[in-house]
Amino acid sequence: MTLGGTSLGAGTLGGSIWGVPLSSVGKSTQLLWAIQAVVGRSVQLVWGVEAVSIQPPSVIFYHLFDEGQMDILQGYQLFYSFLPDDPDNAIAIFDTSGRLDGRLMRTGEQIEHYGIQIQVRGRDYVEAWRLANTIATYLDSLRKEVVVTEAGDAYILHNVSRSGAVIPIGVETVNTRLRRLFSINMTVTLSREN
Amino acid sequence: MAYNERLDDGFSTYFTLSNIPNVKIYEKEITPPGITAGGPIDTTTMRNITWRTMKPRALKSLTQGSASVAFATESIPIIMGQIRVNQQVTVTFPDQSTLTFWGWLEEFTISALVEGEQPTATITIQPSNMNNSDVEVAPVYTPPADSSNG
Repeated sequence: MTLGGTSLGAGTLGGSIWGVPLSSVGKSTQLLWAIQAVVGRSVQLVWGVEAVSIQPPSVIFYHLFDEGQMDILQGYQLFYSFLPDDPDNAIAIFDTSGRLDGRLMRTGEQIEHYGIQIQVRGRDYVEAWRLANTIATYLDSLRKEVVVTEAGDAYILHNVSRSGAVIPIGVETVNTRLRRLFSINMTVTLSREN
Repeated sequence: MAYNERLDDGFSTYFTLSNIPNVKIYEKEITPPGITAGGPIDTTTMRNITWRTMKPRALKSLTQGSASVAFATESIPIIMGQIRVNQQVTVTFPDQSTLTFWGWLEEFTISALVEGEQPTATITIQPSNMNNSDVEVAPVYTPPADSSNG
């Protein structure tokens, strides 16, 4: 597995963030560091406190695959919020613009459908497209999926609404290697499990 | 917000049905009841010269109110029990002023349920202006608690 761009392996921790080997810290700390890396500043997370412990949807999606769905990814490394140069075969989950769906008059709660984009990058065009399509099909099958994050917070992924089919977004060249990119775009309905 | 001043935002406005104040419906858009004279009475006769003449009706009507609401399904049987039951209905405006009138839940219509969107229903409230003793009762506007600076 990878966390925030650093490979964690299946049960084997590897890589580092800010020069500190991931193998030397707990998973919660790794997650906190990854979020800090994403937002570019120190984040104080108090686990279990509703107001501050809500996770970015991309992180929740990351854990969706982390919780037993790794087979779908066919060995491609998984990242959230960015897609590093290496490895060639990689998948990244990004937060994108979501959609507001009205506000409740009594509580002020905003009904929001978060935006998610999954990018699949691979050396082989057919293989990468097939993987993207497999992921898309898997997402279509989700209904009230419970996702538990590293912090132990449980979220209900009510539904994934894809905005369209898998989109080929081009070819990139790195040291004469061609890599094909595909994206899947969607909005999701998420809630915290009580 | 400052009381007794112009309303600049519709947030938040909601209905309260006195028999089921805690029913699990969650207002997203509200149309409070309006007031209408019910249209003019045409008093034009053959003796008129240039203009048609009109008179207002003697009685006034409170028009239907409606709301688009999110809901929990457990509210469905509760609403089934309250449809067409005359009761006091209160509209609370953003400045916390209220308009209370007698009326009933005329309609609860669930909208098309669509993937990726929150299910909603439309409720329609029909004012009766009559209490359960069949006595005519006018709607009552109650200003905000602190309206001295208006």
